Amino acid sequence: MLSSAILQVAAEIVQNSSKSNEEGSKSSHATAQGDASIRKESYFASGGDIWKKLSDLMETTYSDDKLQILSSMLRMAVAENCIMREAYIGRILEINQSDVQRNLMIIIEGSIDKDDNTLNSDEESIDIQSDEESTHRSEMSSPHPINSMNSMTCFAMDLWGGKSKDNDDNKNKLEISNNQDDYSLSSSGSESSVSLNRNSPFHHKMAKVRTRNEAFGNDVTSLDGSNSPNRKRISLKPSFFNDPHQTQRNNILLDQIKALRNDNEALKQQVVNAEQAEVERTDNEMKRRAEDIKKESQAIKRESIMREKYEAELKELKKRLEKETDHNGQLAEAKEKLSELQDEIDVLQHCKQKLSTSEDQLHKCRLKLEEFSDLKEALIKEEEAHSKAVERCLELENNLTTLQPLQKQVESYRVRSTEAEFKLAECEDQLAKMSTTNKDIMKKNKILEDLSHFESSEKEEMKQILLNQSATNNDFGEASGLGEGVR
Amino acid sequence: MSNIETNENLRALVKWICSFPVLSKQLKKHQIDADDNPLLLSEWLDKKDVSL
Repeated sequence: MLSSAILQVAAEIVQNSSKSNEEGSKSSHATAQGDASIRKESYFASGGDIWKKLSDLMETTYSDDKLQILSSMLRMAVAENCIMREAYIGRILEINQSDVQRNLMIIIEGSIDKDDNTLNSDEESIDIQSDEESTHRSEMSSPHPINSMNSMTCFAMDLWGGKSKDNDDNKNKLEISNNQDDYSLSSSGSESSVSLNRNSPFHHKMAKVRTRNEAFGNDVTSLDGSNSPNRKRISLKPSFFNDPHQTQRNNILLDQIKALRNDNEALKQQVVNAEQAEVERTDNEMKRRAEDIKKESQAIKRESIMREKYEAELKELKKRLEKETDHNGQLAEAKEKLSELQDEIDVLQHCKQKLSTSEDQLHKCRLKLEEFSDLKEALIKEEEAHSKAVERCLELENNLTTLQPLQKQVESYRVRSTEAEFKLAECEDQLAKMSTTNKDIMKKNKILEDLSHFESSEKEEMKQILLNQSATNNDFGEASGLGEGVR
Repeated sequence: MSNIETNENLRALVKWICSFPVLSKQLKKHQIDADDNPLLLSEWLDKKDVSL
């Protein structure tokens, strides 16, 4: 959630800001931190208006002004007492948009001005005692230490390309111009200009000068006492010297002016000394900051290198983890398959016995099947014969149906045949009788033929004998007339 | 302070706060570019318990 992320950021800033305070007073803030952490958890846990939460967290009164809340966050982040200050400033520097950086600096400076105004109103009620005391007091009373504000100013100069480091140049004489609200330092040797804070040592000196200027009228004196363009010459009227009271007062005033001039000179000297000290301190601070930034940049580089390295390692480890995860997944799958296969093996072992019996049965069935194959052929033949017989039967039935009208004729023919047979038998009997008679007749005929033959032979013989006898009679005298009568 | 200045300052502050890793990760996760319209982000934050 975005709101919880922003709350985390705010809590981080508050925590980092409060840590440094804890270093100073650990015991007094220990319970407060515990309360804050509890409060933080409750903030992250529950819903509600984020700006109100942020306002509570930042302990600001601007619960409805998000600009003020975010500004106070920024102010807290870049404050000197924040331990992560440099990282937060680095993040501002990492923003590539100059207008954003400028606006952030305006916000920071605006907040500083506000603080200064608050401080100024406090200070005006206090008598200015001495520079050291006022400086010390301002350090003690300001929520932001002096060096914090000055370093922020230097930071502003860094951001805006100011050349505060050139302050060590003797040509860069610092000019101080004052107005009612603030002071500004401008270098004549460069274009840099820096707004001075009211809680800096200069502020108190300038306040002192301003108090005196107000007492004697504006622009009666200037810091350098001579070359101010705003300087006015006091024109004194003749009555001013004639009145004894006035003369006395004038003398007192002149003495005061002298004293003030002396003070002014002393102050000027102090200002110059303070300026020099400030410049030196600023230089030192800048050098230290430059070194810090250099170290920080090196550390950031190292960190980025390490981060890249660790990110690469992390990527590699992630890849390996993914591979291992895949491998583990495969192993798990293989395990599951193995367990399934073991179950199947158990089932199959149980089935193995059944398999042997079924194999025997199968063998028997095969044998039977082989036997049945011969039977099958026979069955096929039988079926073919049966089909042929059926066909024959059908054919015969068809023939029978065709022969049905002839059956009567057959019956009649059969009767006729029996009659014919009977007649034939009778004829055969007659024929047999006839043959017997024929045989008898033949025998008789033969006998007759034999008799005829015999008679013919006997005739011949008799003829012969007669011829012979006629021949013999003719020889004996006309015996022939007797034999002709026999023929 | 004018509205334009206020908006510019708010924009700058939102840009700054979006540079924190916690927020930038969230924005990356939801593929939100704070450069597009940073004021939109503050509008989102105006909604109570906004969940992107």
